[in-house]
Amino acid sequence: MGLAERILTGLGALWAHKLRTGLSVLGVVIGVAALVAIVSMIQGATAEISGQIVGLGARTITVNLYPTRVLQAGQAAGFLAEQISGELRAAAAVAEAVPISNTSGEAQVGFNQTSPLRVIGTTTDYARLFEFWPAQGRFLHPLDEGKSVMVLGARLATELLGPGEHVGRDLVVNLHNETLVFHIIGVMNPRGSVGNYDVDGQAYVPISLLQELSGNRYFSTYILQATHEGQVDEAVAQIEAILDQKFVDLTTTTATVAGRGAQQLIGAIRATTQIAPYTVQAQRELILAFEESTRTMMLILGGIAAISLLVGGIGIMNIMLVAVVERTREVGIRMATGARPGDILGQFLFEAVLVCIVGGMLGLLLGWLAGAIGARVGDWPFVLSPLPPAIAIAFSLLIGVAFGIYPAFRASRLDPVDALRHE
Amino acid sequence: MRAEKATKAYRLGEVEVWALRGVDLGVRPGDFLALTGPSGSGKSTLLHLMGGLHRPTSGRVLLEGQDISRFPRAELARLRGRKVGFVFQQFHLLPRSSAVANVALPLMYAGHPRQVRRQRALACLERVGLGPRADHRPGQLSGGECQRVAIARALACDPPLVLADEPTGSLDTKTGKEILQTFRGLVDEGRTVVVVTHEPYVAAFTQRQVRLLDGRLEDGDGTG
Ligand SMILES: Nc1ncnc2c1ncn2[C@@H]1O[C@H](COP(=O)(O)OP(=O)(O)O)[C@@H](O)[C@H]1O
Ligand SMILES: [Mg+2]
Repeated sequence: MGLAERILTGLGALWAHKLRTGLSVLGVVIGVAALVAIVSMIQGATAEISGQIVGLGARTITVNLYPTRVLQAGQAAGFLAEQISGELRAAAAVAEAVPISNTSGEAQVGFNQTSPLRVIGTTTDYARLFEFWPAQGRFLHPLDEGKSVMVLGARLATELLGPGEHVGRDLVVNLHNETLVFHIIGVMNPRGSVGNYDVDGQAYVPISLLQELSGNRYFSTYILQATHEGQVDEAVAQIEAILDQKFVDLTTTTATVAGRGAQQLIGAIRATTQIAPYTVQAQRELILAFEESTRTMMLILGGIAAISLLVGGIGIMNIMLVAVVERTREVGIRMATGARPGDILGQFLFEAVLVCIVGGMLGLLLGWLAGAIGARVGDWPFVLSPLPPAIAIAFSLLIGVAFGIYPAFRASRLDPVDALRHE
Repeated sequence: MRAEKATKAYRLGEVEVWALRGVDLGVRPGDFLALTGPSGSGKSTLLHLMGGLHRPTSGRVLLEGQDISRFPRAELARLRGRKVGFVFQQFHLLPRSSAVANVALPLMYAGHPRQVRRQRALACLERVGLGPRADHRPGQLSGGECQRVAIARALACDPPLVLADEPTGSLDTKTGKEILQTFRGLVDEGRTVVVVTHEPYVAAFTQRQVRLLDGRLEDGDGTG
């Protein structure tokens, strides 16, 4: 019997019992749809979030310094942003180190009219790190340190000042309860958001200026990049060594704790205060942790969906067992006319597989639809990689075979004469 | 076809029912044989053994010189499909399939391609006078017509042996006689036909009668 004919015969038999077939198909549809929808939604949400996490790429390391947690203000003077970034950049496995400090202010855009403004204090290296370049004028320069100059992101410039040439104009900004006049030295090209950094919507000023204004010269965030992805762990170790040494140097010069080694001192500080003087966070770890939790979620939800598919399979088995009993005479007739046990087995198995394939296809469609709706509602991209549908279909096929084989086997083992006598 | 000391026991829970208690029967090619006897005497059972629907509990069944009594199930199925045609009292047609599809069933299991099957099935239906009814379903046919479809099906693979179990049992006498005429036609072609019956007019129609009683041949030896 050819495949086309098997399909026709199978469909004919299934069509003859529409309700029963519909119910078996439904079990599979629900299972596959749940599986596909869940995988699609998790993938979509994951793509959205990991887009934010990745941002600058897996090489990125974020360092936060809180020197005043453990040092007096006088000692903390050794933690000037420019100096630290220089020392960190000098580490072998570190390619870039850019200090970032951000605050919010208000730009005066008209008479008695202000507009909120996100202000980033940084250095010239920021542009290189984010790979974005000035459309007009220039970005910050080391010689700008301490001066009230400002570079505008592309979208911010248009929002505040409209289109046109802005370099050379002045912008009045309220920052930290002071009113400052900033000289606009550049407007950047649009870059699009990088991770969760909205680089086009921000204003950039020299970090030293911002730290002076805020009165906190010592708290800083640094964005670093390892020389390459394989060097991230190495870079983290080197950064920690540099910062430990720095704290130790500054502490031991005035140490009051006698008889203790410098490393133990840092350990003691961390242990007693429960607050580290710095944190080093490799982006890759975040990504890994996120991926790990996503995978766990996927396994749990996917597992539940798989169980519902399994239940669908049991439904098929149940319904098929009934069908075999009901069709006993048919089996007898086929056997009397030359059907081998294998032919009967194949026929029933094929029907089960057909139910699963039809259910799998419908479920795929439904799951795809649910995934698309979920993406719209949850506002994440609609993602459906080809693998999960393939797995879902393969799995439903497997279910068909696994749960169809026993009823089919029962049918094939019937005694032809008994089967013919069956009422 | 030969049965040698063939016995058949059915197990009903703890109890064994001996349907055949040692039957020796020879049927020559071209024979038209009536198997008679009271109800429960083992006629159907013997017929089933002859056609490979069952295996004997002991003894041998030879078909065309081959001992089929220990054939595996799949081999027996092949044999039923190609060498034997069965006709039953209740016709045993697939109710949802057309006459021609029913007739084509053995051809399908014998592995013939689709077009050949339809052609041959139609020819067999013509042969029993049902050509115009080829696309009717069993429910749309009369009893006699159904039985003729069943005969067409039995002939589909051109088997040398046709075994009929009370083929006229569900038909009126007139229709039954027509069916018997058809069987005689088969014998005239050189086929072997065995008809199980308890109706005297059927037995009278055949060349040879063998009577079963309590699982044994009445005259002891049917090797003829
Ligand atoms: N499948 C079976 N299971 C148990 N007993 C059976 C079965 N088939 C037939 N028998 C018994 O075997 C005996 C012979 O049956 P059967 O060959 O059908 O007789 P007949 O066709 O002459 O009426 C009867 O007693 C019947 O009850
Ligand atoms: Mg009988």
